[in-house]
Amino acid sequence: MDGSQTATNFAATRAAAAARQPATTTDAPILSINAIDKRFTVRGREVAVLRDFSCTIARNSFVSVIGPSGCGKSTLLRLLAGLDRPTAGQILFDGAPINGPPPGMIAVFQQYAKSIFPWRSVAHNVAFGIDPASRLSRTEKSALVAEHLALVGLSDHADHWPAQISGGMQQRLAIARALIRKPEVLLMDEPFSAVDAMTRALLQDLLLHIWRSRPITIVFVTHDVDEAVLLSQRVLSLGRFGAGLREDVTIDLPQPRDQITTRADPGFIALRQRLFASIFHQEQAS
Amino acid sequence: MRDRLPGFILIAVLLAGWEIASATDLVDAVSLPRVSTILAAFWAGITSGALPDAVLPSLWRIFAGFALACLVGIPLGLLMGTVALVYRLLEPLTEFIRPIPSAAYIPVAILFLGIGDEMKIFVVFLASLFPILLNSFAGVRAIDPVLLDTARTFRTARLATLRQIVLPACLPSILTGMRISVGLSLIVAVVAEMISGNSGIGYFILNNQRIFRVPEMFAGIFTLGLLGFMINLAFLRVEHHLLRWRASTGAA
Repeated sequence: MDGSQTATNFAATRAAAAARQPATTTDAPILSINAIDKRFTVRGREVAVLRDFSCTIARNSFVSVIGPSGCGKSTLLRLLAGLDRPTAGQILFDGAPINGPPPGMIAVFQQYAKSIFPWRSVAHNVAFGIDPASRLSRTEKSALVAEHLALVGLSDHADHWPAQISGGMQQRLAIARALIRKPEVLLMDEPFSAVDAMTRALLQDLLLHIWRSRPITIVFVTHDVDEAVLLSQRVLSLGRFGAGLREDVTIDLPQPRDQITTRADPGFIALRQRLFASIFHQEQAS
Repeated sequence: MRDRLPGFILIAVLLAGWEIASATDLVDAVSLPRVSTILAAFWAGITSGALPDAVLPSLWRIFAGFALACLVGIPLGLLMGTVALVYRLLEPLTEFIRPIPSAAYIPVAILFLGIGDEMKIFVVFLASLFPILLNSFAGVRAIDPVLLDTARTFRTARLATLRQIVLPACLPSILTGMRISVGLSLIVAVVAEMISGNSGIGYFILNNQRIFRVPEMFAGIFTLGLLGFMINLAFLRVEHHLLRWRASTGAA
């Protein structure tokens, strides 16, 4: 009740802000990536995936990272999540350097089926995400779980085992489990790449709804240009093998967005063509 | 139960064949008495209390040795799977001890522990330990890294990760190890009882053979078969319940 009130207010504020000036904020960035290197040793040879990479991400923005495989986009996400450490440089989250997974940030993985717990019911999986430090009562917890199950449309499957629900539902479950932690930053690594086209479209609209209805920064890795343009306020395009940032494009399409109206927008088509051509030419050149 | 029916029919047919072969002196009826004679001896053994008296000490030894093996083997296996030093420390040792048939420990165990319950429990423990240990270890190694990344991104504490993620993820392979061990513990307990002591189902079988009470000897063997069958059935029930989340069809 209280929460939804805030959410509605927030949605109004965000819509107003978006109408004024979409992807720019005068606030300090929530994430600052400062001159990071990431090198791996593959059979004795050192390979640089990211080289002297810097960028900042504004609070409550929706940023997508695209690029061909091997461009380091998933590596970048793991570094942001604190799951791996950069070889050089540092990443600041709210001004503090990231050493290990920080509070206020949750990563959602591509292999959702492997990240949910098959021995816990759907509701019990979502409950796992509740911050243990929150000290909620049993009733408060189950109310919170019910709220998040409803958000992702899994209320009717609360008592199912994960093995009994579809892939799209499993990914929604992973999203609900992440959101119940109330993260400031949600990191998503190609979260919709393993589901069919229609499920994917539904999940995209669900994610847009989630981003509109609460203050949250989303960093979204994908190899799908259309998906990046549809969802984001800003798209970062990375080049292959440490080539770094090729494009940094502001997507100033009107909000709120959805599958039908946004995809039909001439602006969407133009931006999509431009980004697609850029990546396509890189691929041809390599 | 219905799909088990053909198997039970086969057992009935074999027993009937045995009965006929023995009754018609096709085989030596002294060494291989009729099934009906054996069943009568079995019934007499139960009513006189001789069979329960023989079975109970064996069950106690199996239970105690097996439980100890679980208490030691599961934590040690999980530790070997999570802490590299523990693995490097214990792996050569386990690989050396594991191939030695459990019955070979018995003479050594007698030297140190005598011929009483301690020795038998110890031998059962040792035989049960390795399948449980190695399967627990293999279970940890097989955990998907995505599951552990999930634990990390949610900042799950080490102990909570072990209890809420590692342990349930390993449960299927731990249970596999336990089921192998249950079978082994029955074998080793019987062998140990045959080698030394004067109680237990192993002793019962060997003693009746020595005093030429062949139907009683067979009654003891039948009891062992029944015991193994029931232990396995109970185990499957427990396993089915613990791993009910694996059922992929139907409503929850």
